[in-house]
Amino acid sequence: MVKGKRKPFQEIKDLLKNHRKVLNVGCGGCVSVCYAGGQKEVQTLNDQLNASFKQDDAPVRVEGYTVERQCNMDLIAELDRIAHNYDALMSMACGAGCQYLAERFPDIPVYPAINTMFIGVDKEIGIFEERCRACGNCVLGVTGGICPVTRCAKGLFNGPCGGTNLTSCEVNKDIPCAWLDIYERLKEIGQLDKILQFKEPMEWRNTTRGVFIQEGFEERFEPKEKKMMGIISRVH
Amino acid sequence: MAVVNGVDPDEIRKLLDQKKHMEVFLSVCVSCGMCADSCFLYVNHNKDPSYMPSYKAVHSLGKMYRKKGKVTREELEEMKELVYKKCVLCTRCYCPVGISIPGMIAWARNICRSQGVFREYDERDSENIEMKQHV
Amino acid sequence: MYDFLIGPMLALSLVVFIAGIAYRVYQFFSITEARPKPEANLPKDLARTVAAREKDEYLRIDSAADILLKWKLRLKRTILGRAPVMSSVTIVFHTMLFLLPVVTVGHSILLDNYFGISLPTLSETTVDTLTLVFIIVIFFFLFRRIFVAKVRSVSTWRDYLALFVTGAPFVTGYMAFHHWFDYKTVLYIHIICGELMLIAIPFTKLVHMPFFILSRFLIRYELGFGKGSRKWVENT
Repeated sequence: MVKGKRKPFQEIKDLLKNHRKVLNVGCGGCVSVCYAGGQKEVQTLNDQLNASFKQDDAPVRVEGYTVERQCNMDLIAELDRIAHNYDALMSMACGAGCQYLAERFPDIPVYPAINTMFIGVDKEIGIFEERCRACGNCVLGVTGGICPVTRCAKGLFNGPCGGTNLTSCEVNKDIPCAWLDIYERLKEIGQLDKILQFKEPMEWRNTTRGVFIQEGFEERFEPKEKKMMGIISRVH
Repeated sequence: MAVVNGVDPDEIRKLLDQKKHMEVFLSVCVSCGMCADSCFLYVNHNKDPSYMPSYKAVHSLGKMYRKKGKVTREELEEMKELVYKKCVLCTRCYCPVGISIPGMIAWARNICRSQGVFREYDERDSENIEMKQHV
Repeated sequence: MYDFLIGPMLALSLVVFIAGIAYRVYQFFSITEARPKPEANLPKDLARTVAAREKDEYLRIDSAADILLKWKLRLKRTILGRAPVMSSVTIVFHTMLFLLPVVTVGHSILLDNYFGISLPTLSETTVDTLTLVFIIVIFFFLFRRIFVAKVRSVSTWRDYLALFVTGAPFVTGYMAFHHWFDYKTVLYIHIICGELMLIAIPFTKLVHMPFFILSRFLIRYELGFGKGSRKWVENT
């Protein structure tokens, strides 16, 4: 899931200092799972902010509310009845949730309280590790399940660079070379021939804003032609 | 046990037996209700007890254990409401005695799924009506 | 009768109690497995960031009131700050549950007679008052179970049984001390109730006594006290 980390306290405080009444909106999705922006964190941050503003004699009050997910308009809609009581919103969701909240309430300023880090795994309680950069062209099938985009410092798609230092990366001796690991893993599962497969360049597709239609949902957005077929494919 | 109305008690039984610790959890839960306020859905829904984490776990997985897997389709549909619609698995339930409630709800979901009971995320009431009219 | 109750019957209930607890501990270890220590591959600036945060945790510390506020903030992150009434009542309840039987003069004499152990005792009037407080707390829990909707919705007869089994020895003990009804009968009932409680601990919901310690201290998860070294076995 998406992993996030709370911004430094001072930074959050600076964002809010010119407001009077702020609603801190938590998210029960990914950021809750990684202990960054669930109800508990909303309460903790609010307590800290309120205590700190009170100490500064600043008239800022922060209240909290947690929604199911901020990346879905229907689920943010429940904020409609309370959002206008506040002169600023703060989102404890990932970047996507924060932007969607800003879209829902165009006349209220929305601030992030979370730094969205990456798509990663729960390595340990409280330790998360990046596994995916959402590049939009997954090559894991031919790289033995090891991602060259996230693991290789240069994000190389087709084999290691010339800087490989025995088993480690030229950036740092502690970082293992991703392409060596890919080679070892492919050898172990008997698919070494796959390393020779040529992967097309990304052409910077991952640097523009991505939008995609999930498989099975295309018909809903296609210009109407094969109408009957479209309806049948939606019966499920 | 025969398969009745598409529900296979033997399969449920097998899945229940896979998680020995959850049976222990259910026998330990003192029903203190302290998990309630850690659930944001409970807080958001006017403190409706059916949103309380332990309620969701006890009335889904707990019921399956009590009935030794012999649940009916209607009961599974009731559990669907609890474990899919009333829980988002944010995994943040508090338990003073150290029971893993999200694990139990996730496993109840798994068992429901094995019997063909799952949430359809794209289901919208108006659309369902529209589709029924077409078919 | 009296000799039987404080002799063989007491021995039997102690044996059942200890064997039951031993079985529960064995069971706990059979449904959990050791979890390896997290890898040492952690960010290098970890110690520095922790130190920076600890230095002035969200507050300026200028006065004693600020230190109190700082601790209040820390407390608010735990259940003690979140549900102060319930958690303090629970702590008082459980502390007295363990302490009262030991510091009662009558029990202490029995212990001295059997094992030659001489423990500190409180005066009879103190124990008497504390027992009254304890009985009030028992009724607090009972009424909470009956009248608070969230607790009622998950309560079963087993929960009432657990409460009854815990409360009975204290209520009868209080009655015996004040010589209500026939002293001998009440005393016998008191002893039987106490022994039943010992027997019941491993087999009713009172099993949370060993489970609480094992689970919260040994399992590695978000709410664990300490680092934790075990996890639940997912496939048995």
